[in-house]
Amino acid sequence: MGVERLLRLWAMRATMNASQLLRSRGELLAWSVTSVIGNVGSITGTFLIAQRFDGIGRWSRSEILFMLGFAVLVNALLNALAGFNVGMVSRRIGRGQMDHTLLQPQPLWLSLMTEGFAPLEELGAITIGAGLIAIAARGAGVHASPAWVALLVLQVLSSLLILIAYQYAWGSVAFWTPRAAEEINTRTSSMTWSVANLPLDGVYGWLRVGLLTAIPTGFVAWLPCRALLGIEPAYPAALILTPAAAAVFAAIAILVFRKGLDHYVRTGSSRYSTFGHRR
Amino acid sequence: MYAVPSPIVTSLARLRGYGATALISAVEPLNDGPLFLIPIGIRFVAVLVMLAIWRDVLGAHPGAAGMPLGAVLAYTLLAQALAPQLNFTSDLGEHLWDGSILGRFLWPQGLVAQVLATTAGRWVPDLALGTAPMLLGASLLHVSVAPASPIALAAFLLSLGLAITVGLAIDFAFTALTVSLRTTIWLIEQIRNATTALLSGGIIPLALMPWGLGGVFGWLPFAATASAPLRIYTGTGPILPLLAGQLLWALVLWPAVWLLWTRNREKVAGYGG
Repeated sequence: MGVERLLRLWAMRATMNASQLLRSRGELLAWSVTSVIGNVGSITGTFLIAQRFDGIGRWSRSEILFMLGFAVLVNALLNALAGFNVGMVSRRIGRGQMDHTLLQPQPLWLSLMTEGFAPLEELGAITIGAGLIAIAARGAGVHASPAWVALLVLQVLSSLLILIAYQYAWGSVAFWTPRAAEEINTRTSSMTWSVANLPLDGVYGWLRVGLLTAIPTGFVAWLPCRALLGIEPAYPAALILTPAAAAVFAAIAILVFRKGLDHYVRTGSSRYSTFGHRR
Repeated sequence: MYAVPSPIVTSLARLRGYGATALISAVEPLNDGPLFLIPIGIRFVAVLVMLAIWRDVLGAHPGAAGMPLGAVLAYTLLAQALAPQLNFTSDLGEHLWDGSILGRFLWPQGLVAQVLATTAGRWVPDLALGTAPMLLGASLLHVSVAPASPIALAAFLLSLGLAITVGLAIDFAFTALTVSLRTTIWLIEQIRNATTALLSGGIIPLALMPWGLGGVFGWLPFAATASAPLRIYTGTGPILPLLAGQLLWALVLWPAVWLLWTRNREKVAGYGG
């Protein structure tokens, strides 16, 4: 029942996304081109360094390309699943818009899983990410067995879950301080993505630990790709590190979000004026 | 009898107005509490990661493209320390988004002066808490940020001024483009963020790019905003041609951008909310 409704709502959202994009050729072109330029632009710097110096540190050129494809795919899937500020939940909470979601005749989790579904504008970026992974995997000499592909899918989903959980854990601060924390997710998103497209092998140990805990940048692409490609020196249980971290981040996010929601249902939002605008 | 104020008094009053605007902008980020430190923290992390990567890469390719490791490290650290100045980004886009640009037209100051004053004001806390600690702590990271020579330092200061002038023109060009295309600011910002930092040499020194791309990008106006001053400071580029290139772009861009802006400013529509 839950899954069936989820799929039905996704189909409805995808149709709405299509009708929005297809209302004019210009609109479709603008969003598609921008998505591709944004995604490709974000990885070009790392790609150029790898191209110029035949790789970066222990990573060969193909392995770097694989990591960049992975990052593009994760980013595109995140945008496709958590658009319309579902992934920037502090804005919804801080602006008093969580009330709209709470009023829906369905569970909150279902609303949050479906309201941000906008896959069409990310199709180009998803294709580029998946294409880069396929090309680079061949170049890196990976034997893409069904088990390896399953592991790849698991790592992508784990990275996605970590990113969403991190945003929700921080975004929940807006339940207590709606005005001050309205844009906190803009900052946490910038923190996570600032060096997500770079290999972190050469950085100071304390910084690497920080980029896997306080800021989960290393889980966006570096650590899962390191495990999938078998980059030396291999970490123990490398392939389960990202899924295990996803479980921990998700547990923390659920705990903090629930606490925040408990507070919110008692106090509500003071920012929602009677004529619909935020103060 | 009413006395007409002298031009000096008028100019001083104007300057005081710009100073007051800059001061308001300087304290504005503090309203966010500790959150305003996050972008500065991101730059600290970025510089640590980039320094590690260059040490890794250039250790195996010493002196690549005529840039010794020390110069590349100084270039990288300085690029992050002065990132706001080398990639001039005003809040004009946000004013377009929330409609407050209409109020800005009513201010008793020109729009360019307003943008310059507010952006320069925002740089103050950033210079104190980001730029200064980064430069002072460079030795802890084993990076020498001393200029290549006293002449290079003097030329760098001139070059930085020109970089800000060109950056401001580019900022206005993107704003005018947003209005002209009647599109959302997010589309233009996404394209801008994805391209300008790379094309300007603010992330990777242009000389270290493959396929001779750096040579091509060096002719674009974006290079005048970051690559030119950084090359002058680190002594990895000829001072006079770089300064001449920046001056040329400033002289070419400003009339073109001003024309673009004046032709499109009437299209600005604000709904507020």
